[in-house]
Amino acid sequence: MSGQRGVLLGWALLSVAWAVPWAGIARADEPLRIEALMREMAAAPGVIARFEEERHLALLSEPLRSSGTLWFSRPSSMARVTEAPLETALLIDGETMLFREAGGAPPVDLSGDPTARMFLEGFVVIWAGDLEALRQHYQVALAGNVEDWTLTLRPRSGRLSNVVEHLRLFGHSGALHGLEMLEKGGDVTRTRLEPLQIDEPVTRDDLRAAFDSQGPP
Amino acid sequence: MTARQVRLGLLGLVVLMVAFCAWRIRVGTDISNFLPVGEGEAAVLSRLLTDSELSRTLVVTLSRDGRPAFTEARELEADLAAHEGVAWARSGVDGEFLRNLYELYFPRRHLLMTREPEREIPRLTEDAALAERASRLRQQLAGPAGPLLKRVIPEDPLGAFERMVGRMRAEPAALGTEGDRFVSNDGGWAVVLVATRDSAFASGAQADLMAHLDASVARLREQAPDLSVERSGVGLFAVDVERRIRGDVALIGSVSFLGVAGIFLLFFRRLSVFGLAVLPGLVGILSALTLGVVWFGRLDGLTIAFGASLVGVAIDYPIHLLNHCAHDRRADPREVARLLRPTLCLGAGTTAASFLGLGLTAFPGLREVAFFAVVGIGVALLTTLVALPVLLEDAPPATERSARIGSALAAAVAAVARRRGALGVGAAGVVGVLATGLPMLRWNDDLSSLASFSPELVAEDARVRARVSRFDASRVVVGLADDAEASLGQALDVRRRLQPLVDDGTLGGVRSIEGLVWPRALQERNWAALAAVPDLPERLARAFGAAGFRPEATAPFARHLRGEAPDPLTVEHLRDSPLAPLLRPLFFELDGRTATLTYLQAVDSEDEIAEAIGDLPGVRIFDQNRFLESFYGSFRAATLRQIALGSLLVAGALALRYRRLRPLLAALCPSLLTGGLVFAALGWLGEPANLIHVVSLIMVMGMGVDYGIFLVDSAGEPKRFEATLVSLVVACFTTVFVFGTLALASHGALRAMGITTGLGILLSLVLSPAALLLTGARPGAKA
Repeated sequence: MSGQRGVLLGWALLSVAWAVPWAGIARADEPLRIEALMREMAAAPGVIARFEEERHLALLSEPLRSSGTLWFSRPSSMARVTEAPLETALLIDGETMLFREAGGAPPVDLSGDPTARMFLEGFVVIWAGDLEALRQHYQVALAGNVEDWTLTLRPRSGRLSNVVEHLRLFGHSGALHGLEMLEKGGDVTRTRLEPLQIDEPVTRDDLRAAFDSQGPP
Repeated sequence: MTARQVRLGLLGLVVLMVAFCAWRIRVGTDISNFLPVGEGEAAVLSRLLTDSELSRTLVVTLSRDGRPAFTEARELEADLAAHEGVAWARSGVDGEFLRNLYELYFPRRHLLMTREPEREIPRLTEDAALAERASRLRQQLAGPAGPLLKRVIPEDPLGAFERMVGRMRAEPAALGTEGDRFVSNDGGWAVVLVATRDSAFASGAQADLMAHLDASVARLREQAPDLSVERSGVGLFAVDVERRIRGDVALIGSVSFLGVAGIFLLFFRRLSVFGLAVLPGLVGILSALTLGVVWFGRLDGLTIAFGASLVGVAIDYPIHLLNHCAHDRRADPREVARLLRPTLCLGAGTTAASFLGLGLTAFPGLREVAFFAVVGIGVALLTTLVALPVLLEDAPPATERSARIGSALAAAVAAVARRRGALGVGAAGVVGVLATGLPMLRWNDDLSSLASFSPELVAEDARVRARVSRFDASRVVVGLADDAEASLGQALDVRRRLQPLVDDGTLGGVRSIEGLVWPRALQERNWAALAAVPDLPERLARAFGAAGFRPEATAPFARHLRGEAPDPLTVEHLRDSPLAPLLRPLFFELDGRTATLTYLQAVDSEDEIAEAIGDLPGVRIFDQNRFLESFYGSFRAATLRQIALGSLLVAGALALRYRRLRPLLAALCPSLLTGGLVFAALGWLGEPANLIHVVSLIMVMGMGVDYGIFLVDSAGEPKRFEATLVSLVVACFTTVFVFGTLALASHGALRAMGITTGLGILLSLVLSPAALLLTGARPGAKA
């Protein structure tokens, strides 16, 4: 149970990570360094991004597709609103992790779970550009070059590593454009982000408004 | 026996008893000791609520700059959890809660699907419903809950676990949360709950914990000077009461000692006589303590405080002996003691009898008091009659001043005796006060109104309660049954009856064991109804296949359904699981029976709740405050009846002794009139009378009878009569200083006791000779 909740949180959080403005991390002729990536991560004032996602599950005969919008507010708050095929919303704000489906049902508190919390902390350190802390949670490997790079994160925690094989963040020409999560059972989730807005600060009130937009009218 | 032998013997006895008490005594200050037992289920429940985990839980709220201080709350939780007196401390939801919930409930998910299995399960398994379910699940798999759902769907395609968790979430939570942290209703304070191992009324243990808490908060403030901390809990009040009583004891003890010492210096010119006068009482108290520890194992602090006041009663006997020795220094003290023996025995016997009534009450604390009093008075009397005369041979009290005062008092009585008209006016005045004051008397059986707490503490407690409380713990629906299964059935019935009231807003919500576990029969009906659905695995596979699931997606469910029924969830399962803390405030075992409590939120109409559950056997709404008020009211009435019965017994004993009406009336009337006049005075003053007044009156009336007996027995001997008058004055003012000074106390109960005894004993002093005169006696004249 906990691991599964952690997976969904991790997936959601790293979906946001995809929206990071990594466009300016380095020029093509510069050596690729993870420290530079993390610095650029920390520089973004906020993110609003459209996403499209494809999920390949052993349970289903066809892949599942979904789309929606992500919001990120410094230092560690985010909202993820799915518009199709089903309206849902996820909010992570401080100690709170709430999930809600459209239709007026009250939000469900997901935060009483240590694995989910670990994901949150992992997420926070990504956005904070804290490479040392990130390495406490994941084995980190950066491959490729500035034009086409891949950052692979493998969970160190026994609880999380029982469920997730790896998370991969993809960048091209200085921009992050993809995320892949491979689960232990072979299920894969791939997410694309387009377009994204990275130059405007996003407040916690913006996130709350986005989350509440899925709530009762 | 020589005086030296008596001294050594008494010293040895005192040393032994002190050593024994120091070794064995365990003093409690458990107010629940003064709650009734054996008075039916309501009394048992009242004790249970009073000593429940709820009452033992301290609530600490922490805030910094208007925001919850979660970090400090976590630190405080860890610090308090390490304290030996703390059973547990929590500042948030247990990190393993969801896992524990899953492990206990998921295997039994199909037993806990619905309260109406025969009606609802066929509806949930219709083809259309299965198709809709499959379609929706496929959509949900695309959302954030997808990774969770995909693990659950193969074994639970109908969503039984989801329904169960949904029901639990719909129950109003006992406390708000922000994330997994406890938070106040207004969102501004972090909350730490601390349950103590000892009762909330064990003020010693509570004081120790509060000191630890204060030290912890002080350390937190070193790092966070703007940290605000406010607390609420019964234990805080227990500590406050003890602190105030300690303060009272210092003041009252000083005034008492100075007053009594002054009286002895005035009458006997030597303070050493005071030592002789208090000796029987002290030996009596030590004996009562020793035997009380042997008999009860422990003694309540209030018992000891009340019992220690026995010095005031027991001192009457040595004072009487001392005065008679002082008035005739040539007489052998042993001979004086022999002469006074019938009088003192009768007086002590009637006093002890008045305390014995307390032993018949349903209050364990009052039974201890009765035991303490009877033993203490008996030993004090024995010491007065056996040991004191021997000691007096070496140190006879001075005589002149006492004799002069005795003569003056006797002359005053004689003067009054000559003015029969004045006596008649006085008697008419007494009747007038009784006739006008008693009808104005009002009763107040809410003893909580006697408690006087620190206003700051009361205000802080109210703020914290308003900040965190969601249920009224003192007003609950109670179900009593023979076993756990029957209790679960009751809880289910209560839920069914109250749910419509929740739906229409009469009730804000309910919380009971029904939200955690159902009766075995209902769980089995759920399984049977599911197993009886025709072709369910096949139809389920078709519906899910049509929605895009692979054919084998629901195969685990089909295998589960073909297997054996799961073991139903029981109270024992819950109790033995990590989820046991959820059960503890909701389910109890008591005296071989079981009880469930259904907590109520935002009650709009108690009458409608009572009506909804009215015909359920063993179920009723229970208001602890109302129950206690009603119980104390009935106890007060019963005590008044005991006073009346005790007075009849005393009258019988006096009749046997005197065999004539007039001396009987002279001995008895002061006591009866004192009782009436104290109540009439309360009526005149507009002061509501309560149980404490009544209980105190038992003691005053017992002493009033003593006064009457002493006077009647000495009325025929001028010298003895003079000595007796001095005895009464000394005894009366000694009692006023020992008991009456309780009126100075800040604690309402002690104050009520002080007012009753102080006023009552002064009235006894005045009424005793007056009654003697009114019966036609000529006190002081040779018989």
